Amino acid sequence: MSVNEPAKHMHEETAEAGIQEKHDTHGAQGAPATPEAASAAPAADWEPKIVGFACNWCTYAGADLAGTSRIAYPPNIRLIRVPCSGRVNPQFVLRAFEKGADAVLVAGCHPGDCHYSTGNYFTRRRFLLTKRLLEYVGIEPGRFHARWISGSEGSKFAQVAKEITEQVKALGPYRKSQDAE
Amino acid sequence: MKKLTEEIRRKAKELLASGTVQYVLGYEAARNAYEPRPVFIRRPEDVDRLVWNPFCANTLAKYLFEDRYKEGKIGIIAKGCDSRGIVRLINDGQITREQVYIIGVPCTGLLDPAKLPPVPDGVPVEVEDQGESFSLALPGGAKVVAKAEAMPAKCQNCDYPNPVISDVIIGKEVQPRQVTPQARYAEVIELEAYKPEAKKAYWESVFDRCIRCYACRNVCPACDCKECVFDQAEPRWVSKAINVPENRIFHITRALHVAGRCVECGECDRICPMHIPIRKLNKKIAKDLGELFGEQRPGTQLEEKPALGFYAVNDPEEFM
Repeated sequence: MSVNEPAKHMHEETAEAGIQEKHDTHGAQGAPATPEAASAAPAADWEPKIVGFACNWCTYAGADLAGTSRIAYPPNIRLIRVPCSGRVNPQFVLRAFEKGADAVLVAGCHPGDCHYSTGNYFTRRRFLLTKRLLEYVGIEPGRFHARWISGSEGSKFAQVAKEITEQVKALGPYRKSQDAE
Repeated sequence: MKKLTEEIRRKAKELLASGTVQYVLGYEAARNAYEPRPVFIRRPEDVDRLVWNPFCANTLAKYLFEDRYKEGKIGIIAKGCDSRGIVRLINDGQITREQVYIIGVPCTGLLDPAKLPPVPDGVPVEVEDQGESFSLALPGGAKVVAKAEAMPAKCQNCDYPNPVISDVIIGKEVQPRQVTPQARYAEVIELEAYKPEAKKAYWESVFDRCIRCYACRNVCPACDCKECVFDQAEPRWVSKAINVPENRIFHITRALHVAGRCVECGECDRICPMHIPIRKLNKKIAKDLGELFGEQRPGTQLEEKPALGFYAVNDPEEFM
């Protein structure tokens, strides 16, 4: 496993660094003084952090199209490029939450359009299950999303980013534990 | 139960004397009558150590996986749930069918020591099956306990009491219970109805107890990776820290790794020193898999694929 993964590692570290950076600015601008204050309401300048796993062949190209078409979408979403949505291990999603993401998106080609023929069919099975399990252990339904976004759907990508950001803003920060932070 | 013990001993002796098996995996009486322990019998003259009673809870299947250098066949005593663990290992390619000689024992239900009056160490307890109850010869006199009260939860809803594969069957086949999905998943259905905050609070109180001893993984016949993700140093997916968020990731990961492969033996629940209801996660996954992709009972047939190991083009679509 470890031999074939340098690329993924790099992406992941970048994403984590991004998250960490955001955390620091947040702290500098005045973190809530007490845990009670934190649980009551997020800080006024709080912005959700959303990690998006985008498949190289469809969703990443779709996001690119959104950019080149000058479609505005919230900068809260940070993309991590993966070769295929089938590459996304539920472990990545859990780890993203653990590292401070408020929501996670897994996006890939529409079923039937996979560059590797069948990768996203496995993604679909896996995440239908993961989504339900996350909800079962108390992670709000709005925090995990999976979407099919093709390379020509730049506007859909922007729309999805917008929708998720709005949902997560309504939910507030993801709290890892009642007494943590 | 005495009769079954005799028959098991006779069969084990025969297998060892003829050289059919290298050793027999079974149970022997230990310090406390309620806790017989697994034993490896290698010589025909030792077979009298073997016992059989409703306290023989341990799934022995995992020992097949632990023995990496099998020289000959291994004889193993298996209840219904244990036999599904053996099928799991065969389907996962960890052992071959030819490597095991399965001494199947149809199971009339186990007894949960926590639901019985304690007995002092060293005192043997004879148990007889009486259909809907067990009679126990306790030091203070005989006691009859109803199965509905003294069986562990997993046995109350067991619909595979007979070994699914075996080379020989000891005792009479048991009529399987008719269990509806509603009954099988009752505790999951109850928990699903909670609001997200209530679910979170419930699971946090549960995960807070976890000491990360990994006993649930070690005992699980479906946890059969040669190197476990929780032991890996690089990449270290799950931190070794013991706190609620890390424990949550540990438990979700463990549950997902056995998704579609859990054989419902309930060993994780039994072994947990902190009484974490681990099966509530496993059952949730089994329930969802059944609803999404059609009911599958892992470990009941050879050559079946786990639910996440294949796909169907017409799987439910929610991610439009």
